[in-house]
Amino acid sequence: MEQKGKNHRTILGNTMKTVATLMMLQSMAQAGYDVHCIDGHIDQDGVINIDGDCDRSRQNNENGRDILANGCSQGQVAIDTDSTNVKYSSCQASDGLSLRLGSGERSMFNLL
Amino acid sequence: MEKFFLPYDELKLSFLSNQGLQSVYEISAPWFTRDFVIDETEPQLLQKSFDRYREGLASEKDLKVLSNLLKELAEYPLAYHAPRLINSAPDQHRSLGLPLDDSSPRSMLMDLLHESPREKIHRQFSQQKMTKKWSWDIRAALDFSATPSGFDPESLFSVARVFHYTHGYEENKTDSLNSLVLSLKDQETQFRQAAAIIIKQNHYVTQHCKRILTSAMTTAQSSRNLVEEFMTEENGHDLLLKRALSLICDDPSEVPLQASVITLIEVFVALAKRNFLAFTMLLDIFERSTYTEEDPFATTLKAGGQFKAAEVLNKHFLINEEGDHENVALGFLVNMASVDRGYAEETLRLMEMVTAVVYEVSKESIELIETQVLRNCCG
Repeated sequence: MEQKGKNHRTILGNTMKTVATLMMLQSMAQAGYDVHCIDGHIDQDGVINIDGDCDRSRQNNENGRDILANGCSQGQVAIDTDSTNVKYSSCQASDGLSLRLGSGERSMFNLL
Repeated sequence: MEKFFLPYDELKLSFLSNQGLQSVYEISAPWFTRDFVIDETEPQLLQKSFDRYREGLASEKDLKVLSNLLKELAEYPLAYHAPRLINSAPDQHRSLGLPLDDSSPRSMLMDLLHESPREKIHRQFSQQKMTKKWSWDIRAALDFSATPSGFDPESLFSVARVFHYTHGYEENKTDSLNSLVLSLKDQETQFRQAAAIIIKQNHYVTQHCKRILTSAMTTAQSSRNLVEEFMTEENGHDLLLKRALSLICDDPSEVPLQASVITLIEVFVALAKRNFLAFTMLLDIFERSTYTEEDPFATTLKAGGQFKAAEVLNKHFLINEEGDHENVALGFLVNMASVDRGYAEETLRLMEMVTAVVYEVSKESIELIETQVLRNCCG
């Protein structure tokens, strides 16, 4: 657990990280965006690779996983979408990436 | 948009017991401890959320659980107020006057009070007592409070509040002062002299309350009516302290007034005229509750047999408690929009500077009692 040094009035890193996450979530909620967390990574060439095929957001919450600044857990890609247009697979999907974005939607990728 | 609260880093939560679906917890900080009972849908849900938060593993649900608890306890100083993305409050506050010399707490104090008619007292106090080093992490405070439109005043307030408390770990000598006075309880003359020194300082503060609040009306903007209301509630408090002082000593005019208190009041007036956010933060320090059933100094007075003076102090204490004065300062910010970086930085620096002055008050009282009361009686 983090500790503060004596004689120095500051804010712990965990608190700073949490408030950054909150601001990001507020910001997306305000813009009408939803965040969806897909297993993924960025390779050495900076290319985003999506490894999974379903939205892990609910499992993150249910399992109490650490939510980082982009709203997802470590090792996940955050896909922020206009909730009225995004279509993503359920976690029961068995094969292939079935994430599909409708026409005219906004999307934005963040990698952790 | 819903307000969000995060536990202060110093906050502790301990599950004590459960009775069916009701759990009993203790929540504590070095300045506050309280038990509470809460309905839980699963055993120790709150404790688990809190522990995960401390370990850096909190989920969004954990954060909501904690925030909801802290919202229920919002009247107590337990939580950071997360910045609000949207703050539609109408009042735009900007720094007034020339930028202050913020190279150190000492230089800032002198610059702020350079036009005071009691400048000589402030200068001497500043040179003898004020540090030349800053110790508050201003960058962390600003990063925490940042929003797309500036810096959230309530977030800044909540950070300054906890910095003030933690600053007191090393600097606050109020307990030592109280112990010193208590040690004289069997020597009536000396006890009364020591008690008179303390009440005199409190009386001086209440005497200047109206001047301070009147000054704040020039910067309060839409909160002017709230300040006015508070001023009405404070009306006459100086008479109570005057009465207490007259009960404890024959000639109040002979009781010394401390340079720290004179300086503190002039800083208060200067902040009220210049920076309404800093003014509310300082007011919050003055109006904080002790979370005791009576004024702690009244308890000391009773121990020394000064029951009538204790009764008057408790009357003052109860008026403030019943008026919920503990939360009045934060309420003044309801109309304040996000502030710019210059204003936010100035506010935090002013608060660190005035915190140092505040903590000098008890130290100076101890010095006075040691030099003027103990030396005469026991030297």
